[in-house]
Amino acid sequence: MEFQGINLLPQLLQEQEWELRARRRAAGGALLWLILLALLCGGMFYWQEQVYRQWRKTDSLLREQSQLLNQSSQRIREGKLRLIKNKITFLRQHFQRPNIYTPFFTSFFNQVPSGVEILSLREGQKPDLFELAALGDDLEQVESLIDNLAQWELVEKVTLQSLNYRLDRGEISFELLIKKTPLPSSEVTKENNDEGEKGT
Amino acid sequence: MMRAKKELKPHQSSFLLLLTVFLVTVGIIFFYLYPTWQKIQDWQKETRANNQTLQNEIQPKLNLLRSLDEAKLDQAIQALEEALPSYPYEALVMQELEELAAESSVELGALKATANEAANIVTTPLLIKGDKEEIITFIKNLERAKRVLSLEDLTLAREEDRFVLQAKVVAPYQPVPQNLGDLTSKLQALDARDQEVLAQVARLNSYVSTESAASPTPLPSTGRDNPFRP
Repeated sequence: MEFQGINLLPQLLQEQEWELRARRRAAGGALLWLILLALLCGGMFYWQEQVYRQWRKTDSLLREQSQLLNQSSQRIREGKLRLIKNKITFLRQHFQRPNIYTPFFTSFFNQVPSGVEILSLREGQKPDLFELAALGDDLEQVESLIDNLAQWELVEKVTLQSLNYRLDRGEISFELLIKKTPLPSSEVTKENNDEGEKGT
Repeated sequence: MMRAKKELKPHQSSFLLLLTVFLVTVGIIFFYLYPTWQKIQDWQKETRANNQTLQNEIQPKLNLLRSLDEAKLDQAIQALEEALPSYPYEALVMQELEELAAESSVELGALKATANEAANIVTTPLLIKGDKEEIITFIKNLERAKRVLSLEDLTLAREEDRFVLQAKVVAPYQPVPQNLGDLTSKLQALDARDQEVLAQVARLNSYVSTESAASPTPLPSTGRDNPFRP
């Protein structure tokens, strides 16, 4: 038979002891929690200080470098460099723009057979087009001119616009529409440069 | 009876203690921890941005500016100003054309240069007379003029034994930039392509004489047939 002790403490005292323990536990827990909270706040404060120091350091470095950059001597240099860059950008576009006049006129007269008289050569309304008006003694000469122009690398297409016999003068007046071959920009530039080097 | 009412019961005092701790915790989170955390985030963000500005913009720009040779810059500006001035200088366009005409031995008609400030160009109608070699020389020299010039609306007409060339001469100019931009605006150094343009500018103002300009260059055949030949 199992022995069963008799609790001799009065019920009230026992309850008071439990409550006291519970109160102590709650107070201890609260204290521990507050200590943890204080530690967290301390950690946060330390982190804040570190980040703030880093921020101040970078900020002051940025200000210092910006001041150096903002010195009038540096700004003047910057202005000069920007001016040069702007002009170079414009000039690059200018030099790259295909200009057909020099290569065209350098060889154009070589394509004209003897006996053909050029009356006018006019740039057409559309780009890459030339309107040519000329006089020839006979059809052979007209044909020869068309042939020469058609085989010329700077010309893409030649179209006979009009052809008139002038019986009184014994000559033929005719008009041609010449479509130029668009030159690659580098080719024109190279040609100009080569000739420039030969020049006086 | 009165005393029992005033005194808190033990479980009530524990509850009040825990409630106070909870409220203190919430207060600390809302009034200190969260604002501080936000502040830290902002500083970190700003520090990162400042570092990036320093490393990618300010320092490279400062290094670039320090490496520039002031004398070379001035030299380049002088050369570029002759080729592409910052102001219209209408009189200089006319002077340039007169020099070109004299150099190419062509007869030059009256000139009237007009500045178009909206388009940043100076235009002048051109009329020159000469034989074909002289006209070719003039066109070649115009492309080599020390100030960049170009021709538009060109017409070549026969007048007795000479040719008359009528065209519009366009001389561009480029005003100086009004502002430099802010400190962090990008700035690029002169690269090989820029040097090439500078070299091209240096080659300007080298005129050809009538004799060398008139020498014909043999042209290779394109192999295309004459559409008018049966």
